[in-house]
Amino acid sequence: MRLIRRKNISMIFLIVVIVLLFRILYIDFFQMLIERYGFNVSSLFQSFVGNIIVLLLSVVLDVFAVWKLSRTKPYGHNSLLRFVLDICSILFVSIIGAIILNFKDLSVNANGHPYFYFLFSVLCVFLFNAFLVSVLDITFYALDVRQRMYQEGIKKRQAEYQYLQLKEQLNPHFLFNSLNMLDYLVQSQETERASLYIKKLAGIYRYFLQASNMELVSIEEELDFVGHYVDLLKVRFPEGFEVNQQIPAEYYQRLIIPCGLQILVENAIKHNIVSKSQPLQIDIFIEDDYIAVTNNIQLKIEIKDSMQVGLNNICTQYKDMLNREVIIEISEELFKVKLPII
Amino acid sequence: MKNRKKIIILHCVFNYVRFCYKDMEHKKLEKKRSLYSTILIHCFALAHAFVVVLFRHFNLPDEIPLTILTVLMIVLVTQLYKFPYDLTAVMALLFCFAGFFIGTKGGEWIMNNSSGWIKNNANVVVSFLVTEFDGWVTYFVVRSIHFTNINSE
Repeated sequence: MRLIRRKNISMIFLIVVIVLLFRILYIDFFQMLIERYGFNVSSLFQSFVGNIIVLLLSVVLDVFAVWKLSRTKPYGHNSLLRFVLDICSILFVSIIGAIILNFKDLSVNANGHPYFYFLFSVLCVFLFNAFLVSVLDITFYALDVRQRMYQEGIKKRQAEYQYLQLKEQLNPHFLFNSLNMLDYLVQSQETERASLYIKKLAGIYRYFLQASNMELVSIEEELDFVGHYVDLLKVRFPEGFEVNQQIPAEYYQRLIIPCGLQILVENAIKHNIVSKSQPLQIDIFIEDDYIAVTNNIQLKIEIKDSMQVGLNNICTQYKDMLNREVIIEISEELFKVKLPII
Repeated sequence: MKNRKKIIILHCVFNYVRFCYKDMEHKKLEKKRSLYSTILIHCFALAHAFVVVLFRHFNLPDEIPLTILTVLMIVLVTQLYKFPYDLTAVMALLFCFAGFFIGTKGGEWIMNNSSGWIKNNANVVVSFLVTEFDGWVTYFVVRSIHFTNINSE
């Protein structure tokens, strides 16, 4: 781990020189003013702290200066310029503070040296403002880092979701079953049905490709896609399941996460018995501000390891992007998932 | 079906191993940083004490070398965590002033309230303690801000 790179040595040298200059000019000069002119630091600080107007004004101006700088000049870029702007803003606020502080009493406190006393006041107020600006700068930077990390976390989870979606696109199992069914239709010379089947399969993959680039889709598009998906499954399980959607037309332009409904329908069929004797009933409807998908519970006998990846990802997407929760309700007979609609 | 399950399981295992390795690497990196910071702070505190003794022996003013040492310590500790230079400069300025005032007042207090070896070497003791204080405050501030930023590297 290389601690310091060559190109940063000049920055470090500059920091050392600037701080050193400041230290020499400020502290030695400060000491000289106290010793030579008999100025009192503690009484000046007391009058500064006691003057609420000056104190509040300094605080407000400091907060504004740091906020403005953090917006216009990001941290880490143009470090030297940023540092110089910081010092200039502190100096500006200190001069204003010193002017207001000494507006009436300059000649009284100055011991016959009003200009030097004004300079002394500026230096004292500068100390206070420098401390405040340092603390504010570090606080704003910490908030900035947290915000960036939060955004990166969302992007990462979104990328994971898109990756899973892409994986689903190339799901060989689904494609294998679909092509088998297509082969059966062709062998049975049901050319019209085969042609329709191919179009629906193409529509599904087209939607997968489009949806991988979109954050939200309309309910109408998603229902259209689910309809194609269900039609393909119906060829495999003619009377094994039924999907009823009761979405009023006024909700069609509302938005949801793409492939959310399809994952829920797929999960219902994957985990439950689908047969003529025990048909699976899947309902899609609107409830409050959610789109609900319910199915009767008739779990398959063989227990398959389900990692609930798809459902967990939908929940994470809703939480990250929209800050809303997906509601899952499980009773003895019914499994219900409610997705928020936008 | 079995092949698909195998692929998914392998993928998950691979991801899990990758994240464990990354997590281990981050913990190692964090331990390294903590160790380097500790060494730096203690070394610079000793260096401060040494400079005070040396310059007192030759009757020379020691403000400039002490300031340079303080700034270097702060820069090195902050750069372990890739802190931006502008904030490093702000912290260096702040701690130099704070160090000066605490050191001056602390030295007076020690001289008035102690005796023997400590009284005679008040400025050495104060330099050492103030440098430790500056270093550890810098370390904890920078570490707390960057603790969650490790994963981004």
